Amino acid sequence: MRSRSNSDQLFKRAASVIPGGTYGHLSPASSLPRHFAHFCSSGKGVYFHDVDQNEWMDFMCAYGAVIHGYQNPIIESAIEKQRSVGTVFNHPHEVSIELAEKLTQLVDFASWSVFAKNGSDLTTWSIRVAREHTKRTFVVKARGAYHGVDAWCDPGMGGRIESDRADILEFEWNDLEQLEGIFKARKDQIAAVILTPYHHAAFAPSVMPEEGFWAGVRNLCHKNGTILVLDDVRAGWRLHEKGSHKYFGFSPDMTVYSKALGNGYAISACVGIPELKNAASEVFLTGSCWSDAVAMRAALTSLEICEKDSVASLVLDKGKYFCSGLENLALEFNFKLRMTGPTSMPYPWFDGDDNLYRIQNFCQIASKYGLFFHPHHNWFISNAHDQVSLDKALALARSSFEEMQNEL
Amino acid sequence: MHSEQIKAWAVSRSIYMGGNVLEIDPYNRLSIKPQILNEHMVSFGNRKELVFTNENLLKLHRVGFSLPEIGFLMSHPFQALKKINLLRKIGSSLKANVRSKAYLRLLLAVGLEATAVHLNEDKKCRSIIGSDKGIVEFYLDGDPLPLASLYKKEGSVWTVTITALQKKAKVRISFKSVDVGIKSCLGQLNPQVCSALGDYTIDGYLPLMDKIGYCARITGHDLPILGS
Repeated sequence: MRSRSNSDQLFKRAASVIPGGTYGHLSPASSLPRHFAHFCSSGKGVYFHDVDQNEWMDFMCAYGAVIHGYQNPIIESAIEKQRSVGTVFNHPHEVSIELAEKLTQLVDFASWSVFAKNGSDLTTWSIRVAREHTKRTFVVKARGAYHGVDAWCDPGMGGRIESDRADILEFEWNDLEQLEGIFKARKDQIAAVILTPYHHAAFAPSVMPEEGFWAGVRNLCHKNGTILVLDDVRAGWRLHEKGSHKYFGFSPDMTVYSKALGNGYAISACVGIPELKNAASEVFLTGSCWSDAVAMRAALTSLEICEKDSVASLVLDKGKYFCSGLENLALEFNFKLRMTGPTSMPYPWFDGDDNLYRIQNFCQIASKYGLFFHPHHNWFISNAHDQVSLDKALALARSSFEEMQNEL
Repeated sequence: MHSEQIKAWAVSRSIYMGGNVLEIDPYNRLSIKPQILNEHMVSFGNRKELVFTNENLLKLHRVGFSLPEIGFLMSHPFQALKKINLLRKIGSSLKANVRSKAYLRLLLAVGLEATAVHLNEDKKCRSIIGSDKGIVEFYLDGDPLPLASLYKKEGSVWTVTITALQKKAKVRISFKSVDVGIKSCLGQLNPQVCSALGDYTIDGYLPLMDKIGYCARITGHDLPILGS
């Protein structure tokens, strides 16, 4: 096991002033608390260092928030310039218009864009826009899908009252018949269907949309006058340079982006069709630092790189190389590992490992070799991963499989 | 079941589980197996000599003493007094407050039994646990056998056992020490902090443990400081 005394000391300090020490998806309790560090000190490219000076090769990319690698020099240079003139003012900075123009140019169905800080800010806002536009109440989501931290959808258990979800209906991902049944049962009452581009639940293999699923959803929404919201917060810019809907060949009415959008700077965006622009201006939206010009500059620069270098294609290709390499290695040691979901953000799943012991064991062993493989969440490939780092990761993974086999 | 009935049922089931852990002989143990008489009363044993109202069972839990229903008691006073003695024995064992593995097992099993009642009967806990099932095992670090297990089979209800089950657990929690285990049972530890610092480890399907942990805290809120 790697040294962790500073991590533990800091965590004890944190626990005295922060509920649970660390919360949400960064809480150690949800990963491998005695194998992963509790705090980071720095990151560059595909590597980060923890507070005990351990180096880690990263396959989580700040849970997807980093697509060009930590401290990408082009983005850092752009934001330094922005920072030198200020970040939050009494009025928006011109960069907000540039970013909105960029997004509406990139995303084919979009004619407007708004900005906030987190995915949740805008998934919640988007369903309110849908309600405003349709004058309807109900929202449909896929069971087990994550759309943020608000009471209508968060995966936690505390602080919730029954009415929080009274207007939220659920169906099983890919089950169009069930969705159609909901539309029939709630005729003219469904404001929005909100879905991720593919089903990326935690603690479970990712599930891609079946043939005809998206066309079916689109058709049902269209037929019933319901707004289709795409939650592209996690997958956005890792599947297609112009939004994940292009990867799957359909057109939503609104899409929410965050995570990779700012390459580590806090920003989210919602884009929408022209017909929703009036409703969007009726639903109040603001936040103390949401006009943050630095984060907007980071997003603009990140999108420019994504477009210029076709980053989504690159990370899909790099992921393909890595995923097939890892699956083949596993087979060599008689483990049946499937890297589920898109290759740029694969979720590792050992067949028959429903209780997750094997993946936990594998990730524990890999952590000793400095690989940051998460056992319960999809991984992320960034454009900073290159042949050298991926080959190094595969070599270390080989040692991990070997060790795991020896333990049997 | 209504809220007071759930709590009273949890208290009576926990007392019975306490008898199991303390290895009270099977005849006497069965004599205090709780039965719901109606929505307001619970009987310890089939013969209805020792019957408490829900309110008095909760008082028993709260202050350690309350009156059984006299009418029932008078039907077989000798048997009833024997049962009262058993209940007192279990009660004093729960209050023993010793740092031993046996005490940890007692607190754990009793707390799990109350949690199982909530998982089976409480509306909020039922909605949280949903259709989840499987075995949750609780260990003391280094021990080959679990201290206790909470499990649910297909088509059954949540159940506690102190006997090792043959099937593989869906999730395993292991306390680093007796002290950590006891504090954990008494709700004195933050699960996220303890897990991060290695006071206990959790392996397997974490979402099940999260849900059960949350329901255990609801139970602890309804029936505070069990055993302390």
